[in-house]
Amino acid sequence: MAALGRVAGLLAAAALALPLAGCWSSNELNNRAFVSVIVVDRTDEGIELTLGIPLTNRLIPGQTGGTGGGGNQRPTAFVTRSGVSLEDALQKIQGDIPRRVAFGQTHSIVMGERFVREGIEPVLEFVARNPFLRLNTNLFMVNGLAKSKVADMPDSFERFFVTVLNGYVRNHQILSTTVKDLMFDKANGGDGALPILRFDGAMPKSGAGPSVGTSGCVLLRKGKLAALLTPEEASAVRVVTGQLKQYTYSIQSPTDGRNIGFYTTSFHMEIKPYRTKSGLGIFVRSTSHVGIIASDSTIDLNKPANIERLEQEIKLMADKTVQRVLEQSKAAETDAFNFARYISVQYPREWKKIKGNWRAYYKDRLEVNVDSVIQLRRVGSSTESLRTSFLDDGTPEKP
Amino acid sequence: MSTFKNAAAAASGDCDDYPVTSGLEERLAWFKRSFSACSDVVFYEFAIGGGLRCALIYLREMFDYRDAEEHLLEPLLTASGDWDGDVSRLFSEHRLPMSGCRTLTEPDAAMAAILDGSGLLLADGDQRLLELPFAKFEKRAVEEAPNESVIRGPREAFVESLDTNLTLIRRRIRSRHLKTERLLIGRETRTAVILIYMDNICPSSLVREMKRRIGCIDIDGVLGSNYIEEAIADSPSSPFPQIQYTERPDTVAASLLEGRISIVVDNTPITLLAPVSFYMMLQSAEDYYQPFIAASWIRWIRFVFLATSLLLPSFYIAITTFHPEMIPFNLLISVSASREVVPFPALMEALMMEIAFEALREASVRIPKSIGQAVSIIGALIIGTAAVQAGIVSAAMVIIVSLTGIASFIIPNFDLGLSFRLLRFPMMLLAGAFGIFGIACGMILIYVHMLNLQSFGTPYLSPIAPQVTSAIKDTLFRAPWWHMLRRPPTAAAVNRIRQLRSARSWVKQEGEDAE
Repeated sequence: MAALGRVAGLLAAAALALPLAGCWSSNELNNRAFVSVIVVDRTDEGIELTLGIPLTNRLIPGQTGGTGGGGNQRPTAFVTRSGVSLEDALQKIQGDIPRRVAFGQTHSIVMGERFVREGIEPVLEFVARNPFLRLNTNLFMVNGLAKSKVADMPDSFERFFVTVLNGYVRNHQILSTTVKDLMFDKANGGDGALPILRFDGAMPKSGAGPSVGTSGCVLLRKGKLAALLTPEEASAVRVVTGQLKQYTYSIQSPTDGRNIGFYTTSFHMEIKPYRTKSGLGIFVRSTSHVGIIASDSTIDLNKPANIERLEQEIKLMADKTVQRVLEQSKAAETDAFNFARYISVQYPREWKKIKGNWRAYYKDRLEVNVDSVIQLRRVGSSTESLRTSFLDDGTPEKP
Repeated sequence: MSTFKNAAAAASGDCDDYPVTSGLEERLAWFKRSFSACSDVVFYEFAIGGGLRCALIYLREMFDYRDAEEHLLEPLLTASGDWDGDVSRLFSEHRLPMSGCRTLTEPDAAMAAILDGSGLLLADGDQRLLELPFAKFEKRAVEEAPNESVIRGPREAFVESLDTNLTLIRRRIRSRHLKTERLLIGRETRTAVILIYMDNICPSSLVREMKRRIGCIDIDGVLGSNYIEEAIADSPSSPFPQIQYTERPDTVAASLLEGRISIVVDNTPITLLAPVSFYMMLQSAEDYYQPFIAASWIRWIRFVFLATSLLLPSFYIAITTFHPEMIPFNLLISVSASREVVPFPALMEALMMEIAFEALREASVRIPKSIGQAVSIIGALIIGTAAVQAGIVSAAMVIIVSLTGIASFIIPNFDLGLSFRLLRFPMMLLAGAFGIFGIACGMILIYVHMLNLQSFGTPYLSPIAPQVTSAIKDTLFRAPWWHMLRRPPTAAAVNRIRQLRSARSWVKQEGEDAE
């Protein structure tokens, strides 16, 4: 009987703990509409919310369109409603969908340019409050109206648009900015960089909508668009945020001005604040290992001096780009790279003093020191270009 | 008459009216009365040299009368030249040309001897009765273990004959320490039950406790070892088996060497082993015959599929109905798409399929072999393919149910597999009602229950809880034989040494020689 009493006690304890779990209502899979991507635009009427919802009933194995995209039907539905606020629009969508909208699978939020210009604060608020939306949801921007482009895009590589976005982030092909990144501290809240999705012209075959690609990025200040950066500068942003994993680029050889192609094999970013006489500075140092992927030049790579010259050349280019981006962010008065985090950790006392007007401090007084360490590790199996070793036999080429 | 009124008399009924006389007629008449309407009892009367009248009572087809004729009756009937008429010499002197004969005086013992298959010789002029142990009856030959087959190990399995089973064990442990104590259980069946243990390894307290528990059994019949098992188990209402069963003599021998007791019951090939822990039932005899690395790996596989067999359907229900955000997006789409046309909630679907699978499994055991194939076709085709194509169940659920089914057969001990099959259903209900929280609650309940279980003083979850570090080498892993220097904690504390030195100590010696 003692055992029975124990079991009863345990059952009672479990029953008491039930309300804490918050998982009362079960909800079948097929009663849920899993939102894979949220698209937010601002229109004259207010906010236009579009939810991308995979249509699992078009993906039933062994039935029509089973493998997805097999038929003409797209396996994703985009439902759009407008409202004065996000919640308003969401309620309208929920009212028109026979299933319950579930945000548990949302990984990406795509915003239109106008919405970003006027401030992404509603989205941040929405994500921060909703228990099912994660703080590491990725944010993207699209030039122009996002909805029309996203909804019209044919899903060429993947079944779902969101899989494309996830792939970009997973493979480090795009700057990854999550909601959490914009909500670090009040001093630089809403400051950050937002990757831009590019939609190229119509597809050649089907005449359907444009295909998606990666592009530059924008700098945000207090959640509003503050500066537009080119794709090249966007990669510098990725350098500073430590997200660049592999990158291919070319520079001109210091000896004969011909192109030499490089690729980055390993990349390490170090950001360190320091004290100066008048205040604080920040040291931005990247260390990258590069290899040569192609060479048109006749430069002799057996000579250490030449290697050093190449390294110097790359360093100059890297320093210049990073410097340019940092200056732009200073000019826009946005701490897009979250330097505040480093300073607050390292010099909490100083941080307390300056955090009240941190953006101004960042713009005018923070000393930024950029350094790139380039180590040329691989020059390839041949030290000479293919042309020099095989094609160029000394006879003058016919014009 | 009072001499016959002892406890054993209860077994064969009332013997009060047995005529205590040396006359043949009265006694024979009494036996005939006792065995009235027993068509298989043979009363054979004859006379030997000097006209001494004798009678032989035996059970037809259980007593080898040809042997008796050859070894006893013929010498008695023919070589009677020197017979001087002294009946007592027939019993007292060892004139009989064969051994094993006992002289009996008590009628209940005589009755029992007849029922055991012996012959009973009565002679005119002597009160004593002679038991002729020529019992012989049809028995099954020793065959390969049907339920615990192995690839590398010995193939012999127990049969229904107690004596054969005993020899199978004795042939494996030729030690005087191997004790075989015989008990009779069952008022009517008088089933022989033998306790086997190693008196130098098995703790004597365990033997005493076993005898005490078995001593309480007073039942009319024992037809299988489970009659004993249920009577002596510590917590009979638990779903978990607390006594191991086996049909392999090598498993019994190994257990005896670890200080456990075996109970062999006549007329069943299934012997019992006690005490047992949960982890022992996850071990198979094969583990010890295979290379230890492979055996350890297979043990881990068993642990994994043990959890699978208990939790997979409930986990599926919980995740799909409560926590779909846990599923990777692409998997979710696949699962969701396959569920799209299914008209039932996940819990309902899972219960339906699991119960159908249980039925299929039960049917395949009970069904006559000749139509077994038809059932498997029906099961695989209808319940599997057709149900999915008809959109009644989802393909994902069929995969889950089949995987669970396979997992439950990976557990070597069938009883343990049964209890996990049973516990799966409450777990599914909990998952359907409360999600993963319900599963966690169910797991805690099961765990607490298992912690409270004991088998003859051995904690059910030992050697993990309570932890016995030295025994883990044969629980989570299967340590190589040269590493098992000590016996597990089931053995008596005074005799834990299995090997005096490692069987691979020659490696060290080799180095010494070289020096």
